Amino acid sequence: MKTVLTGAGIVSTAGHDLDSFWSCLKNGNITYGCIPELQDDKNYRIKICAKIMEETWREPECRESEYGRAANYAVAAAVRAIRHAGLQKHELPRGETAIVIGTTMGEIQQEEMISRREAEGGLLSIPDMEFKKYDTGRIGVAVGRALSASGPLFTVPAACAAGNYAVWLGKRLIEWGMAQVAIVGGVDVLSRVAFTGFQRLLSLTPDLCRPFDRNRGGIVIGEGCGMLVMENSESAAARGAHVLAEVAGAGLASDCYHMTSPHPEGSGAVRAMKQALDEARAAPGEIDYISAHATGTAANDKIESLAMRKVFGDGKIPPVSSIKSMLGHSMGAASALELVACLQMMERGVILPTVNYRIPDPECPVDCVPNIARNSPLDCVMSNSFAFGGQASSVILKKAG
Amino acid sequence: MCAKCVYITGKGLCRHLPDDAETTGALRDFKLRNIDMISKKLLYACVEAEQDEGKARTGQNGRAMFLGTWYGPVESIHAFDMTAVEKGALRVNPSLFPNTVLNSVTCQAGIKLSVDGLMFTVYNGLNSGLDAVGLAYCHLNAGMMTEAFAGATDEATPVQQRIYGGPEAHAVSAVLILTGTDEKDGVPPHALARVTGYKTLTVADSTGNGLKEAVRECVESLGRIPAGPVNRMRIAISGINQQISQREVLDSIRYSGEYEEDAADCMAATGIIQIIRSLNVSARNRPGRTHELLLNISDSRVSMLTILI
Repeated sequence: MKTVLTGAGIVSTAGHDLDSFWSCLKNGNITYGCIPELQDDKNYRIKICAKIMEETWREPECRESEYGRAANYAVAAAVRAIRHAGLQKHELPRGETAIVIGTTMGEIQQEEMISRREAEGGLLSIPDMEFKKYDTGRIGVAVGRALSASGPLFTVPAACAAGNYAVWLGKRLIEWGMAQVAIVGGVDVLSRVAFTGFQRLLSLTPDLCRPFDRNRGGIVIGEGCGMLVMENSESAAARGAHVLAEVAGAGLASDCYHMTSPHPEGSGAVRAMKQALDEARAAPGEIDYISAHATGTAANDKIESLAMRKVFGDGKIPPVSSIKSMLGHSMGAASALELVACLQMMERGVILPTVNYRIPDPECPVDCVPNIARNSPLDCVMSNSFAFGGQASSVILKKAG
Repeated sequence: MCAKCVYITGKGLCRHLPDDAETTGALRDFKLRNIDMISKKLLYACVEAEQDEGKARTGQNGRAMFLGTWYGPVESIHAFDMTAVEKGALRVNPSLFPNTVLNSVTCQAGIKLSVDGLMFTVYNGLNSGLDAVGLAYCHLNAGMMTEAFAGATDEATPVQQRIYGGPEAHAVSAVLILTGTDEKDGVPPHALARVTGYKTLTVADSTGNGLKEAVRECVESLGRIPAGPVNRMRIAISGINQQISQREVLDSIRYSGEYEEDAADCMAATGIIQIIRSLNVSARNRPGRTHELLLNISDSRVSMLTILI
């Protein structure tokens, strides 16, 4: 029995439908820039982030009176994912439809509103419903209700690796017989708390995200949601589903080192990648492409390159790219959006580029597919994400059939 | 892969961090600068659980950590953001930023305890603690690791209380250590109980009928668990907007055996507190074996764990 992906749905700065998402990224378009509310704010030296500016992301199932923005992003993306999978809500197996959603900051915009209003008029001035919407667990509940789904439901924050952690758990729930279908993914909304924190850590780039470039200057904070429909291969075949890819392997490990700095030897990253390869029964040489975590910080990209060298061997790392160069870092949504991009790359036989790359860094000796998309058959790809707290993750997708 | 037997081999609790915890107490060997209180309390409970187990540990050994929490580091997030709002974004302490991500409590404790296996944080409301134990059980049962911390923690704050909207809840950190073994290896020397099954359901219909149906489905799944008839139940139902009563739960599954209703006032730790109470009662009072079913019901969720004591 295999675990397969049959549908994908997104909310992103590159568009909210799969065709727009692909077109934007293939053309190397940058989806971030200076946002008006930061322009004149002296508290913020950095003015750049990836913000969803328009409100066309919604689906009719969204309920903004009951749930926060993160939950509504997740609802919209999940509705689109099951539509893409060719599933109607009533076809979701009763009691065996799992929902697993990862996030970094949850309904952080609710907290930010609460703080602003507390400063103005105290906590008692804020209606109860605004607090209810802050409850992180309601993100998964919102998706369950929107889809009229029943089954195991988990909201599993794992910082920037959240989407991959959700994929891991969805895969296990199917393998353990606790679910036939799992709707999995990651979500985050644009966060002033995150922006403030990363600014004080000097981790934000003042202009462009330049993964692996010698002059890379940090991350661009973003937002979005990626949701995937995962199924037991037998039930997918039984209903004639179009299989996008097999989730052949997944690895999770912990650096056991520091909350914000990666292990200097890439310990967690190496173990996560090796676990994924072991489970996929794939040799490193069978990996055609790696979707890197590659946030554009000095430390991450260097350590990630080291980890890849340890797993694949010097000079043997397959092509690597980071769509964060175009999307910014959508935090908990990042790994899920990167998996969606991997599915599209595999389907089309095209590797998306790492844009803004000008000067090679000898400490990052990778072929990062600089600036222009590249035609290449892709049968087996790896997608990595490494998070705050040292939570490392690696997922391997294999072409179906 | 053969299913493993999963045992509870240690338990630890922290209701209030002792004044001397960091100087001469259980946390004296850890560097805790910039670690917030909720993480310290979780760490304390983990250390208590290790001491209860009585097993010497050194370095990294593939242990995992599964943590349930309803509200997470809500105080750290709020304090960080209030500083930004009231004093300006450039005045926040960058060292406190890591405490604002929702997995921080798990990771802060995990790093200090040399957890190098996987770490999961579960935000499932009242059910979070029981679900953390359940996920740990599933992973151990599948042979994916041999040891795991399974815990839950929350903190009582003004913001938390407004989210909760109910009577004041107790902030408790509660941790179990779970160990997986092959059946042929017998029962581990420090085993307190064996976990025999886990099921969780969230339903779209959160009315009483929907929840009763979910409870029935969970209990019927016992038929697939290699355990035996349940002879004791513990039920905790979230007190907010209660759609179902304890009596309705018992009637829906036609259970007429011994049961106890537990107050759902320890937030995410409620389920683990139930387990610890059962272990303590059995240690004191009960000859023979007890097969116990623990139920947490909240909003639209039902979580069930069975243990053999």
